[in-house]
Amino acid sequence: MIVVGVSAFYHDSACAVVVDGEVVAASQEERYTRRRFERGVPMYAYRSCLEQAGIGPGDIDMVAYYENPTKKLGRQLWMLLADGGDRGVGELDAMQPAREIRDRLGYDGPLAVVDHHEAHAASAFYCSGFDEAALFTADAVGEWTTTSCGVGSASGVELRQQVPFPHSLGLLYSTVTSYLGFSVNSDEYKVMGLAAYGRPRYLGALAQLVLNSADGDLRLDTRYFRLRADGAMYTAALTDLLGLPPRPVRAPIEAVHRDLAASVQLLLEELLLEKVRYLHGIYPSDNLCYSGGVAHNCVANTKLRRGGGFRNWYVPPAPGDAGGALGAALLVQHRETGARPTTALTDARLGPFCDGRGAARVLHAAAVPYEDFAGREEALLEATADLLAAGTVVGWCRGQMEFGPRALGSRSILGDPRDAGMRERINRLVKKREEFRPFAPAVVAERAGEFFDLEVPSPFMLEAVAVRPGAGLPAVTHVDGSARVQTVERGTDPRFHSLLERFGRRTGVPVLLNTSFNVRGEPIVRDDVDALSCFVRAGIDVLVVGDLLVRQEDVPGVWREYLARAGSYHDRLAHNDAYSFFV
Amino acid sequence: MEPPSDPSFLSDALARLLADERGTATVRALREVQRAVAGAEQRRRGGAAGTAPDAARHPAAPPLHVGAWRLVDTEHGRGLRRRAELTPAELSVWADVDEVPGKGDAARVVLVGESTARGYLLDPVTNPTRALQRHLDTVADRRFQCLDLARTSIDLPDLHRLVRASGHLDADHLVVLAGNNWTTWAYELSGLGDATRLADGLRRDGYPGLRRALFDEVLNPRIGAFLDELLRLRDRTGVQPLLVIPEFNLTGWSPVGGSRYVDVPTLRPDELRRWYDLRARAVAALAAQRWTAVQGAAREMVALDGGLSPVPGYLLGRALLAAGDAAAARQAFEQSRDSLCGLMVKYLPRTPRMIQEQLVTFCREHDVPSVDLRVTLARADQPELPDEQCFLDYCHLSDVGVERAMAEVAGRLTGRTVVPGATDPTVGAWQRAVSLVLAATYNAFCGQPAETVRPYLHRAVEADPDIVDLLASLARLLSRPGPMWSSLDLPRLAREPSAAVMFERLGEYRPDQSRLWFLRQCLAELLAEPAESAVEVAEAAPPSEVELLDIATTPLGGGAVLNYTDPRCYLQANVPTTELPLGLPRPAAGCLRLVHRCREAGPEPAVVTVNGTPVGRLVAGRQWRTTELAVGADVTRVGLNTVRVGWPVPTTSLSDRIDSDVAALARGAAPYVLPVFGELYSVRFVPYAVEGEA
Ligand SMILES: [Fe+2]
Repeated sequence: MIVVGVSAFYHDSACAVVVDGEVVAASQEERYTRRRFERGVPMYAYRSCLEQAGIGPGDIDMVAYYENPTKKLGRQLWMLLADGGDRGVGELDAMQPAREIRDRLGYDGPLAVVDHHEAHAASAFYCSGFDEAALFTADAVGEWTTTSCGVGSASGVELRQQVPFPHSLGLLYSTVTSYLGFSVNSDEYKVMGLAAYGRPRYLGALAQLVLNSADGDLRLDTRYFRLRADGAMYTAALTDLLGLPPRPVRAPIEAVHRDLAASVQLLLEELLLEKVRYLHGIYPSDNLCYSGGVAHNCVANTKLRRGGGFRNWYVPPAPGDAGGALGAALLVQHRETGARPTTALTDARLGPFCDGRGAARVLHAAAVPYEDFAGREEALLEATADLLAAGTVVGWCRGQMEFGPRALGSRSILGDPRDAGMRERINRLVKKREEFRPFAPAVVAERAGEFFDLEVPSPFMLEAVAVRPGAGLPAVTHVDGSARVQTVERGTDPRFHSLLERFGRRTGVPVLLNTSFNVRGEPIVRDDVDALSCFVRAGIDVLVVGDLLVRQEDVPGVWREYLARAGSYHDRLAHNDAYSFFV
Repeated sequence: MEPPSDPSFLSDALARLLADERGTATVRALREVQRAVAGAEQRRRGGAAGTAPDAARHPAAPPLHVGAWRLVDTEHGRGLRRRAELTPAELSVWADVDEVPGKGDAARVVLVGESTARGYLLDPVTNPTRALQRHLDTVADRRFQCLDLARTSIDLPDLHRLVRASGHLDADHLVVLAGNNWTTWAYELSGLGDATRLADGLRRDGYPGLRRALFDEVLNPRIGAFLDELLRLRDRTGVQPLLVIPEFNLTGWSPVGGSRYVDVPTLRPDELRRWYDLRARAVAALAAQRWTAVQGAAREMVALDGGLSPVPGYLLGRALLAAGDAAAARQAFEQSRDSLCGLMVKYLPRTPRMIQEQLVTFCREHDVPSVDLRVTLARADQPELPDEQCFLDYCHLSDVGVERAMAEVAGRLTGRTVVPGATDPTVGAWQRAVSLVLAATYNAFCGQPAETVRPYLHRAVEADPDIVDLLASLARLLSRPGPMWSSLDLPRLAREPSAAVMFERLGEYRPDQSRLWFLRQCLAELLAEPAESAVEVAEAAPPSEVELLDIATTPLGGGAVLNYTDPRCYLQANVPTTELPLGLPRPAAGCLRLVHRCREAGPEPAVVTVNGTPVGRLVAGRQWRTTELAVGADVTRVGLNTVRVGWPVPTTSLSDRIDSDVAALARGAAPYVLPVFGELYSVRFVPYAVEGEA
């Protein structure tokens, strides 16, 4: 049976294909439209996933949608009516998902609807390889639910307890994110990064936002929140409570802001820990599956894993709403046929393949020199390891694209983690991001323990652990001595593993700085042409795309000048008639 | 905002009542009423809402911005300085003016308008404002200062806002050269009221009713409000408005034979079948120069389509022109031009006679001077028709057109006779040739057929034979693999000042053979290059599997929709023939694999041909199916091959289509309007492996 999962119309649309219980393809729409967190129906991802699966639209048995539109409408209506508010609830159109799946994806077969948190939970449970597990989800809101817990077993996913909107850990964190002058629904990780610099001296004040958190429940004091999509998410009461004005966007970040970040991070961790311990109390399984947008918080993740009481733990590669597409498809497949994956998903590379041939044609036509290592994998890895060891920044785009927010060695920018100046360099080239945000390391799994205080695999970069003293990895070590580690297994990604190993042979450190291959404000590159464009624009030293190796000094200056100028002009997929395209 | 103790219960019950199409429309209506009530309340309390649509949009905008500029006081009076806070993308649509000094003792002329006013494809070599300044400098006995405030694709509310703001400019004259974007503004359905009017019109009188409602009930009042603003401005500040009535290149734009044009909106199945029979007859008669037969067929088509197709009017116009009746030809061409305007489908000519007449009437009734380009740009030999030499496409003016139009405006402003030059004297032969190359490129992008594109290229070579170097660059640019920015010819092309606007934007564009093949063919023909040079360099390698639908690679590709509904991940054919180009470095046998669906078809199959030779049929069916058709090497050729899917006439029910479009309007979405002949999800050519090749 072929089930296609779809998430759309809120944040980070995605598509996934599950065939007879196996995950065959998944990708996020933003990579195709080149608009970050694309929310439209995932028509490009759909085509791409079907192509990967080798199927046509007529082969699909069922489409699974990741949210119940009627329940969502119920919550939206309540927001609208309760507040007399108009903005901020979005389109109130419960027909939209079914209509757009039919009209815009061209699918008119059976459509199954899965509740939002069920989809989150399913994306963790069915990918975990566990026969049974306790389930925990936390995000901003999906339909009415913000946090849920339940059990996964041979009979499926069953959510037994749910915290209703607006009492939400995600919204609590986002509110402080908003207070700190960052963008909601995208900049939460900045707050997490900033937290390491501060002291949690607002913890007591922030704790007053929570009225009750006993027994898996959560009640927020709604006087402090303004839960509308437009404008600030907080009220003046929060300013009074904190005795600190909100930080205007782009204002300098001061100690008080760092302290507030540290406080909300600690509050989140404490609340999560409380929930997970409670969960372990009522469902004393060995296994925990955890998902939802809050599971992007890798600092909290490690604390939960260590202190939550569960022996084993699984967080999927896309714990956010994109992952809902995968969860919905897996859940429906299991419900309809009983089929489900039998092993854990440890490889996030579920997207389209990049072999570099498109880039080869472009380079060839423009007579740009490049080395083609087709059939000489070892030589390519050797050459790249040499370059990295010599301090070169390498854009690395090979094989299937990762599903989820992290680049894990298929669409990555790589650098030497031993070089303290590397962070500054990559920031200057591509990221142009706040000084306080650390870069992450990738390490061969078998030697992770030598460099990091990490006792489990972390294939999706969802753990933040201490860097061992003397590890000598300044470019990937955060101010508090932690790092957001990705462990790479030989059996999962032999090519990236081998690159790390070879780098280790040269330097003694089988670790690379691994950051996503994109420039600030853009989604991660998808194909070889995106990679080439990003490489040229950013002035990255070397590009490895498929089997090709290209050096920045060989790139025609006119490419750089042109892309620097033209980049800002238009949104590539936003126009659909010739006139608006040109003006 | 305290939630009820069981928040899900009541709201969910309500949601269940509203979770269908009618419910969605109900909620939308409720919100609209809520908004209107809030607006009225705010007005009552003396708030800003309601003064103008922009006030709500930019409540905090300081009043002394005029478009992309900020007012500055200088010793010679009010001047302008470009707003530094705008991004390059925002600035690029506005006239390229850094600073305007105070007018001193000069009379100030402000020119506003859209791309035509901006001098699209000519600027900065020349543009209407510069031509106007030159003429005024030549003939006037006092000093004039011309201010260029044109903005490409400015819509009606923005133009209104700009005109209101220009009241702070101490202007003496305000020249308005606009109109082509007004109809599309109405397509945006900014309020439920408008959508409801359109839905009512559609329900009442079908698609002609939709169009009438759009003009009479939505657009006309909005244009009226804009024109009233001109009068208010005249009364308040003394600025004299001058309206330029736009003209359209009636004979130089073809709705027939190009790619991806609308033929006709949904008709009843029997009428649609009859309409296409007549169309075939009219086209054949035109080719055979049987003018009367063309007229007969075209008139019958109009009777069937209610005047909502550009095809019969165009064919009729050609026939009447050939028969020597220029006045009747003009009427026919105008009917063709206006047919789709207001129908919410994609069509570039968007200044219908109704708008021209509204402007003329306004000028007459309020003693406002005007320059009617229908007169100014007329042909010398057949004054009923516009001179094609004055245009670069459907509405943008060539340097010849700019020269003539602005001479007339200068004459009207000074009360003198201004004799235009044969061409704009500041535009050199090379620059003229460049503008014509850009015109060819733009027309090709707009999907115009080779017969429209080719003359621009010939005019370019005529203007300056050296232009062939640039044409060769363009040909190479179009045949390179990958995105346009990777072509080393792009900088060469973008270096031409007037070309930058086009080629800067082309940069990220990926291959779209279907839209560019006409141009590539015309260029190859003109440069006398062998057919295979038009095939991508990389395709010289053994041909590999290729997807002919470029939905996934380009916004302008096969998935581009012909109406204003959201794009789909598959192609809906709204005309009976879907044409897909296939470039081959050499003849190749292979398999054509089509994934298709035909939900509204009768029992007949669709027919697939390659270069005119039938290769198989597609069985109609409501489900997607895959059909593989063998293609012999002898059917293919080097260079451009054309795969055609000929669909049977669909059995779409007109009343069903109208019902679903009424429902779409009720939820604020665009109506579909068009018939669907068939659907393609994928069309792949898979060459058979040839011995000796990998
Ligand atoms: Fe979620």
